Amino acid sequence: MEQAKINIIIIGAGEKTKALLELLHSHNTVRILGVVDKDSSAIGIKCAQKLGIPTAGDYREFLARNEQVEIIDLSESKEAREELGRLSNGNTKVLDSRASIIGILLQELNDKTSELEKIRAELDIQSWGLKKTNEGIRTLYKELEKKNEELSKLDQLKSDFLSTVSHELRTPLATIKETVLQIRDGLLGPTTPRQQEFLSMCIDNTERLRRIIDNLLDLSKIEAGKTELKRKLTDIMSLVKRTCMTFSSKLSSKGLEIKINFSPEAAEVYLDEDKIIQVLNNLIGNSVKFTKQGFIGISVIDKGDFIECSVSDTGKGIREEDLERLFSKFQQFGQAADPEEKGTGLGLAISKGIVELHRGKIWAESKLGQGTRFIFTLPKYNPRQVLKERITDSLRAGLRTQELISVLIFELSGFSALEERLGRQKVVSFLDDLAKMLQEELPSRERMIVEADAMFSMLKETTKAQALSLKDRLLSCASEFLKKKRAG
Amino acid sequence: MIKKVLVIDDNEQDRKIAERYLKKSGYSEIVMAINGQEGLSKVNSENPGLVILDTMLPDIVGFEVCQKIKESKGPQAPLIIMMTGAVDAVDAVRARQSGADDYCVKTADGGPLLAALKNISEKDIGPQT
Repeated sequence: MEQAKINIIIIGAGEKTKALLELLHSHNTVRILGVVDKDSSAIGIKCAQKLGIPTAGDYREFLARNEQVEIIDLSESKEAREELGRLSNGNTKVLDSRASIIGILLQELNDKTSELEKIRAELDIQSWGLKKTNEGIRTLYKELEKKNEELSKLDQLKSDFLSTVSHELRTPLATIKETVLQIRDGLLGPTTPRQQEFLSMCIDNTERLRRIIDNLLDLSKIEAGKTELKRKLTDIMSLVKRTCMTFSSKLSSKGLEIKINFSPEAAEVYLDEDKIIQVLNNLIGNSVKFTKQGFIGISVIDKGDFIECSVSDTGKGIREEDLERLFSKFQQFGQAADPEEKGTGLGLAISKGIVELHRGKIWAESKLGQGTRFIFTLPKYNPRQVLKERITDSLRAGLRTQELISVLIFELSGFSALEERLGRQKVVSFLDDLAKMLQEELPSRERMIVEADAMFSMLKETTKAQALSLKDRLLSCASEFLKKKRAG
Repeated sequence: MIKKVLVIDDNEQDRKIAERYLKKSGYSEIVMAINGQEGLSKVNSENPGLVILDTMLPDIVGFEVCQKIKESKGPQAPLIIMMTGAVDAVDAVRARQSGADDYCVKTADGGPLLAALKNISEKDIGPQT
């Protein structure tokens, strides 16, 4: 059942009326019959009009005979009070601003309003603060981006410089070494043994210089992302064994033992043999260099998804705070036992680069006085991953050189032999698989033309017709090239 | 019309950057203070029309300096732009509550300061040219 509404009429239309109207007009137990003021432009009248409440110059307009009405007199005029006072009877109740309940209500209203205003001011400040902070963060972010760009440009410049300089240094060095060798070996006339001794020293140092330059070159290539791995499936166990063998004479001359711990099964890893040998040489070489007595331990453990290789020694160890800097450039810790074996400070940085190129990890564990253990991992690959990597690598290379046209050629050799061995069904499903994978890996699939025997990726500005005619020309060029290559 | 600008910052590099961009915006008379105490006394002695104030000062917190300037000078108080090296929403709100007219982040290119100066000069009649 609907609650009975209280009918009210408000006399006077000042600030108080406005506040009261705002408070009561949406109240469901109150029905405002009207607002009364002689001044039709008073603030309370305006407010009532806005809220859709009737207004009038005389209260009598809102008085109906048999209706309960409460008249609230906010006019503060004596005449109005007196006149209205006479009206009070069973049906009509008159309250004026002196009535305590109205006073409390108005006071409450006042407090609420000023409180709200305070909150609003506070909110304004908060939102101002947030806006300013956002602006600041955006600016800083932009600055950071700019700096980052500058830095990567500088880095590139540095790498280019390093590789150019290294190349320039290598050529004269080869000439110097060759010349000195010829003098020492008496090809240009007789030399005394003392002269030969000095010339040998000269050659040793030239050799060391060459090693440093080679290392610098290796590192700058890795840093510039120009190192290409020549990978193939390799038995990691036999690779490690072979590398160990090369150290046997050095180990026995220092009286060091070598302890080997290999997983029983052979494990094939898709790796660049020369590069991994370089890593092993570096790690084993370091261990031998810094170990005076005890043993060198080498282990290769099959960990399921990856192979873990480690080289440990009983040398003097590395301080904990030095461990994290170990793989940075030009860091050398401790003096080599033999001055002729002085390193370049680049070996571990290069090793890290190589291992990371293989998508592996490298780290060191050490206790001062007890020895050091270097560990690196190499992930095992399945053929699908190998293929995937080759595709993304070639794509990335194409992007880097920013050549306008890059062609990826997939050649499947021994197709009929494969068909004979596996059966037609399997070969077809393999090819389908391959095509699907290519499509997944190549960017912007929607810009691809897929035909029965080929797939093409288009540049943004090219129309399909242009791409198709270009494709024909490319195909004829490519087949010509392949024909020549086969003939040659 | 703002004639004189006071920069309160303990970092020399930051003072120089502020000076450069103030000059660029047409303010020729620039006074420096390297801490809050010096800043407060220079507000009285130099009577600047604008103060560039760092939030982090070695002696008095920047917000307090800001509040003291605004309270002591009343309606004659200079405009205040608070600058920070570490942008933070709570700090921004504090700056406003302390009476700062603007709050901006420090950058090497002075972009935010220039923008704040432009805002100020629109509010004010701007620097004398």
